[in-house]
Amino acid sequence: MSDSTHPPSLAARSRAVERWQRGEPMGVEATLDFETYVRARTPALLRAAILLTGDQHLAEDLVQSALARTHLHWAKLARQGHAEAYTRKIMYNLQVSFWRRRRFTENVTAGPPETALTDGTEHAAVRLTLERALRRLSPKQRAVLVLRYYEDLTEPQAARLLGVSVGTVKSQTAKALAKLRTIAPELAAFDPKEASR
Amino acid sequence: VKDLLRTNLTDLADRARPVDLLPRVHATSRKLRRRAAAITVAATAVVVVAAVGGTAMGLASGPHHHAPTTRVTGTPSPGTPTPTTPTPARSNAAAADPPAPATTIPGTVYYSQDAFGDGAGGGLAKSTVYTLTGGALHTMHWTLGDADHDYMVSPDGRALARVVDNGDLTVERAGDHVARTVVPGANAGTPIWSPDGSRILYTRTVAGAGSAVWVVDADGSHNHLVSGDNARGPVWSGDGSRIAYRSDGSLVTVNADGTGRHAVSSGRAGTRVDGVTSLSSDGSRAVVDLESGQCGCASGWRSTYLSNGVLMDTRTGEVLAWPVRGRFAGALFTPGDGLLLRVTDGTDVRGPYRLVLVSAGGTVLAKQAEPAPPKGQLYELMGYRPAAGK
Repeated sequence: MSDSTHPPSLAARSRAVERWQRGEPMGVEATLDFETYVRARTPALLRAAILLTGDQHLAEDLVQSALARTHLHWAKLARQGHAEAYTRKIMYNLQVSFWRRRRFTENVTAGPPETALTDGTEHAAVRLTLERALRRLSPKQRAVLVLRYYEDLTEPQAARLLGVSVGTVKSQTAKALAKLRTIAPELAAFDPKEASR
Repeated sequence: VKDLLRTNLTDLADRARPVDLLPRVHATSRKLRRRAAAITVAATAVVVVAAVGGTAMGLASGPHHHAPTTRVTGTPSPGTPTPTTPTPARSNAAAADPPAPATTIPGTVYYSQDAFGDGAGGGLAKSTVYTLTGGALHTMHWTLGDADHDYMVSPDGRALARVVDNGDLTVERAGDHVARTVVPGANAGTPIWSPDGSRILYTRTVAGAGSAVWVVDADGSHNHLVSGDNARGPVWSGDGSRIAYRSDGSLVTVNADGTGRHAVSSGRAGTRVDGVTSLSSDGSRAVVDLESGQCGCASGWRSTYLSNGVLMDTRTGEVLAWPVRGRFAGALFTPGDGLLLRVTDGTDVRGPYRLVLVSAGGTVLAKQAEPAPPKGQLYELMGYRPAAGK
């Protein structure tokens, strides 16, 4: 069942999906229904969520929760063109909330299995090292790194999304990077800039 | 590192497998709507009951009414001490009735405060420890930051055990404003003080080797392994002689020296033990959170949110009846094997909550409405110190 009042045409859906994929606001003319929105944006949301959680199932859980909350306000969000911004805001804030932080604390200890190194390539080694290091960051530090270096948001944009000050984003980013360097100094060896120093 | 992040985060994100979440999203959405509707109905019912109750009270206090036999308890204004109501004279017929519960919880209740992750409400607030004494809520001044969440106040409230960013276990004494490292490099988690405040139980983890329970004296001496077992969220028994933890979905109890291991599965079919929050003095009963299978909200060692909180017999795994009705977001055994319960009637994690102190025999000794937390924040029940001599 759609939440929009008029079913959108196929062409309108296609245009709307393209806009979403470009990250553009939908505007009042957007008539994309919720089902199409979910199917169009779930893959991208899951990609960010797996970076935040480090686990496929937790990522699905996180995206599911964020989308369900989006659904509650769908008519208004779709009309205003803020649906995806809202979903992402929910998702990041859920991730740093206490439930998931507690869960993270317990997951962080296990670490990925050693067998993941079997492909033997340097690229895989970098990813594995980075993945392990990311697991040891706090959820908030992880969130700012994902926002800044995966989502490519500016500091003010990241601050707005997390509902914190720009100063907090700066300090959390600096702490996260410093911690990464401390807990995984071998990363520097993979970084051409650092290695040439 | 920044360049590495930019190039490799995309690769890491590629591990996400595409899934059709639509049916699950709709199911969760329906659940959220039902919850919102239930809260609205409950709020309306409270207003109606309050209105009717107010009318009844007005009638009862009329000039010709001389027999006030019932005293209304509970619901003091949040954050303000409740005035003591003089006990009415008892008639002979009422002499056998149990005494009415007190309207404040005797002793001190410890809470931590955390942000409520409801999405658009904003970021995290600085972690804070509160004490509730009588009707008044006080802030404890520890050097906690907004990323701190792995900490526990000592039973006497004079020290805080905390795991800092690098995994060190630290202790901060009241007034020191400096945390002293007790166990360096432990990759520690879930610290909890022994009932006498002399030792700290915690988990430490080695990647690939699982999690283990360790105990260290509060001054950093006598650090030793108690049990491997992939143990999570350990707690002490009230007399400090036994330890309970969860391990791979089971509840495990051991003596404090690691001997006498006994594991039980949940006696409720299809559920796993997801967290242990309190253990009775003799170790025979535990407050346990069973895995809900829905939100994955592991509540862990601190009494956070018992979505499926139960009392469990630690020998048989049998689920026992709670002494009072309600939904529990925290339960702690008292030294005399009574229970301090944090109860709500609704389904909203934000409450409102009331604290109920129950004796070992199931008698309600005290009830108190809990002060409402600041907007966007939640309290977690962290500890309870009974009044001296109780």
